[in-house]
Amino acid sequence: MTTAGLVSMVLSLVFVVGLVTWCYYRVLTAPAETPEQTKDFHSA
Amino acid sequence: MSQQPQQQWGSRLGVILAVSGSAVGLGNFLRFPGQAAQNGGGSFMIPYFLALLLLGIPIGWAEWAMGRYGGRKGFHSAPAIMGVVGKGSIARYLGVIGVLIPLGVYFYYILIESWCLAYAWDYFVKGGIAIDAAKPIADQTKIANDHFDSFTGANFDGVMLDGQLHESVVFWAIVFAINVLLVYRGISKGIEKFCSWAMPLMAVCALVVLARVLTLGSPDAAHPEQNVWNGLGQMWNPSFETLSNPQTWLAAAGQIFFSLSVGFGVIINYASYMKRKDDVIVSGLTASATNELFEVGFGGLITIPAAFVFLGASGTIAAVQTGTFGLGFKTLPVVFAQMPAGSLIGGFWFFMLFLAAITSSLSMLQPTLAFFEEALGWSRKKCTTLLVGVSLLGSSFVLYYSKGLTALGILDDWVGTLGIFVLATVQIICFGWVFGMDRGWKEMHEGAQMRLWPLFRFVIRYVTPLFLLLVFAAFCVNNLPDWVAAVAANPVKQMSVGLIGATILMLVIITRIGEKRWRAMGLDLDGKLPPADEMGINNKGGAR
Repeated sequence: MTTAGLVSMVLSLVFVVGLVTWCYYRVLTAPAETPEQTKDFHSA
Repeated sequence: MSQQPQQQWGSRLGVILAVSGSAVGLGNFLRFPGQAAQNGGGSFMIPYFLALLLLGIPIGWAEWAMGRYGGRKGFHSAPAIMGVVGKGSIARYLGVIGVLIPLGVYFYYILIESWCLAYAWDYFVKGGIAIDAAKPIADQTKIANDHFDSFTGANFDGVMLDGQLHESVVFWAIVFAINVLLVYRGISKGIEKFCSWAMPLMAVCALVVLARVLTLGSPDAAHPEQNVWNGLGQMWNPSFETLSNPQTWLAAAGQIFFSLSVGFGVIINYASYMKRKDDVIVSGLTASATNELFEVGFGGLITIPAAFVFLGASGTIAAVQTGTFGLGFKTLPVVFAQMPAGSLIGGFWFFMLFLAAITSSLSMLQPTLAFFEEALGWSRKKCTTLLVGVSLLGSSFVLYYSKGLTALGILDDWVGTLGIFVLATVQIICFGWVFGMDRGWKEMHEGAQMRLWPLFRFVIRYVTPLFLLLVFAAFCVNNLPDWVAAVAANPVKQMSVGLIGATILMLVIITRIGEKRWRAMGLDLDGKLPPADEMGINNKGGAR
């Protein structure tokens, strides 16, 4: 593999793994749904 | 009108995994590496990631927002939701494509899924497909080809339904039954629950295969250059001159498009079961990112290096040119035959493909079932029976006309390729221009965990539709005349197009029935009013 190939591979993997990690961090650390929100949908 | 409880996702992670499961399929592991290796390797990633940012993710966000909006109006099927977002019957009937695609693709995808399960069974239980690694590679390839052709009935029409109990028919029936059972159980108890363990399990299988491939070293002492490092180079070494070729950009856009399941009629249906304050921006991004992890992270590191190590550069190039099925079912079995612990790794590989396929096929059945339920107003049981009947008929047609996989190829071209372009274009134009970008932007940010750059407003309204129209025009010029000529010359292809036509007719008639029904129920099917939850009206129950 050439240096350019290695750079392409590493950049692509870092981008994808970084994006996945950031996304799941945001999803899993989001505040739980409040009862008001549920009420808002079901009874509005 | 049946009085059934409104379905909803059990958790936010559940809907993300279900959409990701829908997106991750065979294409991630077999189509992507081939496309990348043939179109510039590492340099392919430039148009690929641009297409992801300008095409895939924006269309995905628009679909998530449209789906959730439609759900708030009490609708869950593409025709009804498109009618609401596109404000009238033209968009509603164009929305029929959003049911045609999942249903039409299911007709043949279920067969491919059953092949994956059967191959996994062969590798785990029988130790492979009887390829003798001591024989020359050409002989091994012939054995793999013969096995595939015999298993799929690719040599003769009608061989699969000739009255004998073929192994492939047994696996087809098993896989069909599993799909129907899971979809019948519903959104939360069936699809979400299954995807919640299938997606992590798929990642584990992929990691096992990846670990084996990356530790292969240089297994053939006579060919030390055939090693993993050079195999990765075959996949990733860039050739920047390919960037000046429009075909590279089309290939990248096409790959993103088919990979993310956008314009497929699935996201719009899945998102309709979300709640008003559920985030769609980070959720949509997470589902796309998960798909990219499987595609770039696993697909980009496994297939080409594994083939290169045992088959060399010329063998790998030849394998890539055989297409998805050639690479997956004919070349890789030869690779597994040479590989230490190849039977086990082959089993993990094909089981991973099976999981990728079943999480996708489930997402094809649900939009159709939802459409039948809300258009006809029948019970879930009755609608499932209708769905089984229709999909059994379509799938049996593909199974019967198996010679050269002709029927499968036609459905894949006309429904799974052309249909997706058309639906995505209709959706993004309806969202950005008919529904309105101001309203669409507001809808996307309802309950959002993050705000998007205003640049994406411009992208969704102008760049994405223009990009799609250009790609579509190029596609029509490059491919359509050949497709039409091919159909005119082959009776099986004509019958396959007839099957598509009959399916469209059925869906249009059901949409007409639904339209009358929804009007009689006083539902706002032309999207003239805000959702009920904004007007203080209980919307529970919806069109069903």
